[in-house]
Amino acid sequence: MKRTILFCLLFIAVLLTAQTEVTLWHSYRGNEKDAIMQVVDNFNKANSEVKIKALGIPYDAFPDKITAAIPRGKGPDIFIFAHDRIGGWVEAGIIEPIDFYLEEDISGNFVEGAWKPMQYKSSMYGLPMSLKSIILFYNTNIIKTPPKTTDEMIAMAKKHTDSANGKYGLVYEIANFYYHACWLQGFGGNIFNDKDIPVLNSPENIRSFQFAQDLFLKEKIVPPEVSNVLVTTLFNEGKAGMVISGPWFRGEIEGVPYEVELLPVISEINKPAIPFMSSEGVLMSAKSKNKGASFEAMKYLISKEAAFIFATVGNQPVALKSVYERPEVKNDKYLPKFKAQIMNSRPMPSIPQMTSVWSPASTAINAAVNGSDPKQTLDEAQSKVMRTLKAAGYIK
Amino acid sequence: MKRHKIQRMIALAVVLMLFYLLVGKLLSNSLHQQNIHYTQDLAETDIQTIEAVYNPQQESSFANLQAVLKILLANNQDINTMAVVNERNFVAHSDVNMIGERITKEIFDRQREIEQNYDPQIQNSNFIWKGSENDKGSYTLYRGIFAGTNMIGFVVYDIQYQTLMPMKANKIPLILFTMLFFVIALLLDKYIKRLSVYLSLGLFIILVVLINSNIAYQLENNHKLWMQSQVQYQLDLQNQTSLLLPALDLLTTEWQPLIRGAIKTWNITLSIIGGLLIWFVLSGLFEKMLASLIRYRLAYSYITPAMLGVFLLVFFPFVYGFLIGFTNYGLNDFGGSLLEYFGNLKNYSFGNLIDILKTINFTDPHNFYYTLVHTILWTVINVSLHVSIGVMLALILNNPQLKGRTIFRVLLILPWAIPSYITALIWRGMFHKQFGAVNGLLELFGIEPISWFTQVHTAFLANLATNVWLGFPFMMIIALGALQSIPRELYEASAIDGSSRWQSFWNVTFPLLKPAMVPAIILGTIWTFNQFNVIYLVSGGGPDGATELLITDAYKIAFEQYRYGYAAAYCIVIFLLLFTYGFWTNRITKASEGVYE
Amino acid sequence: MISSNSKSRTIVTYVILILVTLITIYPVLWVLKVAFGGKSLMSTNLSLIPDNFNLDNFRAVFYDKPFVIWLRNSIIVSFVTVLSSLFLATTAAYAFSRFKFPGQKKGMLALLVTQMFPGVLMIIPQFILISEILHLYGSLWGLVIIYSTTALPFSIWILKGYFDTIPISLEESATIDGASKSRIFWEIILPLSKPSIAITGLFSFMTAWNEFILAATFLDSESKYTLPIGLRQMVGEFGAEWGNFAASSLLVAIPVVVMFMAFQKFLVSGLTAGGVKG
Repeated sequence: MKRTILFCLLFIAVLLTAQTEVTLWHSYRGNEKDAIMQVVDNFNKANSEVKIKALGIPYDAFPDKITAAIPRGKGPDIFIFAHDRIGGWVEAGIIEPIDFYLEEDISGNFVEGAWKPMQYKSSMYGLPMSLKSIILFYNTNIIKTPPKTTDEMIAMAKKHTDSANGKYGLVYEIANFYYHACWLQGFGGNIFNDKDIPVLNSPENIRSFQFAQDLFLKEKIVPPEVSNVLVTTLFNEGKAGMVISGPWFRGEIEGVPYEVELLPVISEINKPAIPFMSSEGVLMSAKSKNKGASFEAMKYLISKEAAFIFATVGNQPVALKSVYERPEVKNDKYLPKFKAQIMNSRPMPSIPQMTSVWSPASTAINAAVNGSDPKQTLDEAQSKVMRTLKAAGYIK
Repeated sequence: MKRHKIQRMIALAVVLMLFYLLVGKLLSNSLHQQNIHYTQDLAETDIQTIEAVYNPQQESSFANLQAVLKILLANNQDINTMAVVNERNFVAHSDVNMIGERITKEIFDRQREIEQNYDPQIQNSNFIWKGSENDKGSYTLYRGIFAGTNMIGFVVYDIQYQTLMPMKANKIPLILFTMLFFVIALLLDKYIKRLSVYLSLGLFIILVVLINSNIAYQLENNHKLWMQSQVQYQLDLQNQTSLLLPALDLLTTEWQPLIRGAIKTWNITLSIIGGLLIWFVLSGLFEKMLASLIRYRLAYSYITPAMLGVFLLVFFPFVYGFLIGFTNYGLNDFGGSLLEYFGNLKNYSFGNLIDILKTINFTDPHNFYYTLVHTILWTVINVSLHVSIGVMLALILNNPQLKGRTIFRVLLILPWAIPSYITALIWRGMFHKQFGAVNGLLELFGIEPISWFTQVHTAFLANLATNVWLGFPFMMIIALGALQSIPRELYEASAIDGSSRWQSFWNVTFPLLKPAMVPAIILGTIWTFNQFNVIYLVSGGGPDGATELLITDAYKIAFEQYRYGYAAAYCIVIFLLLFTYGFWTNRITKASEGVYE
Repeated sequence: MISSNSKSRTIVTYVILILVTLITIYPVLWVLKVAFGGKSLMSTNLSLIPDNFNLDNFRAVFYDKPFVIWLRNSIIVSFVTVLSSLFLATTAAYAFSRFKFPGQKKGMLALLVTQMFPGVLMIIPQFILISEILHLYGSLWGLVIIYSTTALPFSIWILKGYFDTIPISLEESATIDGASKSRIFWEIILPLSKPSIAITGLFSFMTAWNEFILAATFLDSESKYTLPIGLRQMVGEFGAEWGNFAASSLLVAIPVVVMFMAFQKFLVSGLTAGGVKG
């Protein structure tokens, strides 16, 4: 009885007037946080029926909090996250497909490659907001013209490397698989084949591992034991000529003039490096109580006005194509470059199997960079991943 | 003697009465709990209200809806939720928690296909289609297009709990069974020690909950299978206008044997507990417990608030961890109801534990036994360094002649006061091969820079240094506090006896330090065993997982591979190891006994 | 009294102490260096003087971030935690130390057992407990309950260990004078146990003061965030505001140090001196 009436009220509420509050969770900080606050503010000013309430959550706690809260109905209505968790969250019943709300096909409004990662098993789960991939940063005091090929990059880096004084031509997290993926995919390698079976020890992957090993051991242009902390430190102290990092790195730079350039072409095979791309989108909780209103809010987050704020205030390479036509963005030193790099990148796999790959693959690249035989390390990683996936029931 | 017996009989009667009333009530409540506030009495449903909302202009849509409602009502089924959609958009979706059914593109497409394949007449009448594989909840969602409109209605109802609700325990078999278990318990009395009584009681209560939710699960499963065939049946009967009626008729007959089976299992479990309770009372244990409760009421009243608080927060997570450790609980089970998952006895096996323990290899870093040895080594070295450095510093700082001891004390607790997240990362930086302070210092002595994180033993040392740095202030503070209980006269007396410093430490300080330090050491051991942050932030478990601890392994299994059941099994092993350790130290050191007793 | 032997011993003592202290504060000085200049956590030169001394980080923490709100919430949570856990722990520890009752040893063991099950998987059951059973999701009280019960087993064990060292003869004489058990507890045992009460209080305080993951999981509005959540919000997936983090870490440490200094007098006064018959 009560339920029915409640439902009826709800029904009327949604259909007619009433003010609905949509909770939005994000883990933005710095500029990006400023941008989202501004966007939410604008939305709340313009809308009388639906209000967004934004809550910032530390990145470290974000996935745990989502998986704990949403199945118990305590979570947000919508939240912002990179696409690579979508598969797992769909399997866990945490996010809601949005096909029903999409009245028309808007996939064409986005930068190529932005839409697809938001899909999982032929259903749409999120609207893409921004796209993140790594790119080459260079200190303009040290490097005047950025390298076009890896041979150029190595030669240039060698010239500016003086390891005794802590100066290095190229600084990036060489032993981190996320960063290494740009070479791996550039060489034509892959992590999974089209049947979602891992293929870590393919010849292309082995070649890319050899390439990374040479950068470190033979050419000696990359410092040892690079962490994101060291990358920032060396770049800010003017001791790094080039850095490979993502758009987030702009917030870390302090007092160093810099520009960005597309990752170089791999001279060995004359093909460009292809980094991982993560599409950050806004997703809807499966337990949202106001799905209609939530979708309204989601739509606003990918609107032209919002995307413009995300691009200019948040420095985000946004997913919406039309933003790049605006003069403020078009003439920006960085954003068009990021967009160009994204066009030449590959979405990070979003299948849940991927989480089992990270740790063995990172171990492998770490060992290879430090001198182990690339083939052997990849064979080991492959068998390790296969074992885990079999145990977890993904592979029969 | 006689009075004694009468007392026991009265106690027995009271206990049994309370048991059947309360436990029975509680258990059935636990089964309905999720449901109870969703169900509604349809007899009171104001159909007019629904009508007004749904589509006031189109009476026909409601004729149909009313029919559905009435039939459900007549069959004593509860409608929990309803939702209305128009053809493309979800307009409203009442209480999504309850529906548990998730409409995906796949389903939508399938539904359209069905719509297109049948002629309009059937399309307008009734059930078009029912949930899919994606249906994770224990609810069933029916979808129908109401005649003459483009409205699609959802009728959600579930039966499993309702059919259990009216179930009443049949008294005669119950009493017979109860007596049987009483006799068994009596026969076993000699062999069972007291502790095991409490344990088995607890276990049986868990078992009852499990078995009963298992029944619910089985019913639900059967119901799903049956419903699938029904949908087919419905679609075959193309000419009938009201298809719901035969379906519901079938429903009640199909369910009869299932319900009977459920009652039987319910009776057996109740009987087991009843039998045990009779034995519990008649063997005098109950009375003894009651008597000791009364006799030691002061002591119990002192400890009860604290113990209650601790157990409230620990017991449930503990049971949860223990149960999923024996399952393959993973990502796919996340959306469903926990109770239902725990209820399905098929989910349980010893597979995880066997898999963890079966291969013994002390050299492969990914083997359980390697990690175990590493963890033990890590714990022993850490705790001994914590304690020895802590006690040494406390002894130095306790000397009243020492100048500036206040300042030293404050400086020495700083590692404890500053958030360890940043200091652990600073330590990691200090161990950097080229830019780290540690190698910088070693260089002063002419030692070649060491690449700390590429070899096992150096990575271990880096972790160790960080953790010792983080952990010794704690032991120092404890020791400082403990030293206050040692009266100065004792030292003086000892000095008069002519004993050396070492002797007076051994004879005076040590015995008085022990009672305070032992608990800190035992707890410190447990915490170090489960130390997570340092490994995670400093060496990251590398190289190649060789500096992982059991706990970091468990974390990776849970959050990188989503194998929660397997990770919980790891935790069970960790728990059992620590439990053995705790039990053993308790025996050996008699930590819980004071020096003055 | 002062022989050359004891003089050289004093020197050795000082040398050891100063050495240990230097090693101890070196990483702390790094935090200072980061806090007073720049954004990077590391540095390629090992000098402890900031390259470019400024107070920007502190300014940012106070002006750009709701540091005062975090501080207020943390203080509320920590102090309530300390009070409630101390009250529960002292009474329970006293019973465990002084009364004889069935289940005494098992009770102590049970408290220990609660510390043994690793917390890795506990977030979800604890979430169910707090949000669905206690209905305290999003409330600081939920955290207080969790923190005080987390701190309890340790506090009870430490306090019991300390109570055990207080001679029972003191109580016996009081009992002869006609004092009740609870009067003995409040008027004799508690004042004598100041050092260990100070320690357990400090420990409970630290439990609540530094805990991050549960706080981040159970709170759902930024006006209720505690310090650790605020701090960790400065850390992202790929980078962090290390300068601000270091500055706030120092600010977070100040109350702990102040409390420790306040408790110091309990740690040095040797309260039981003179009241013991061995």
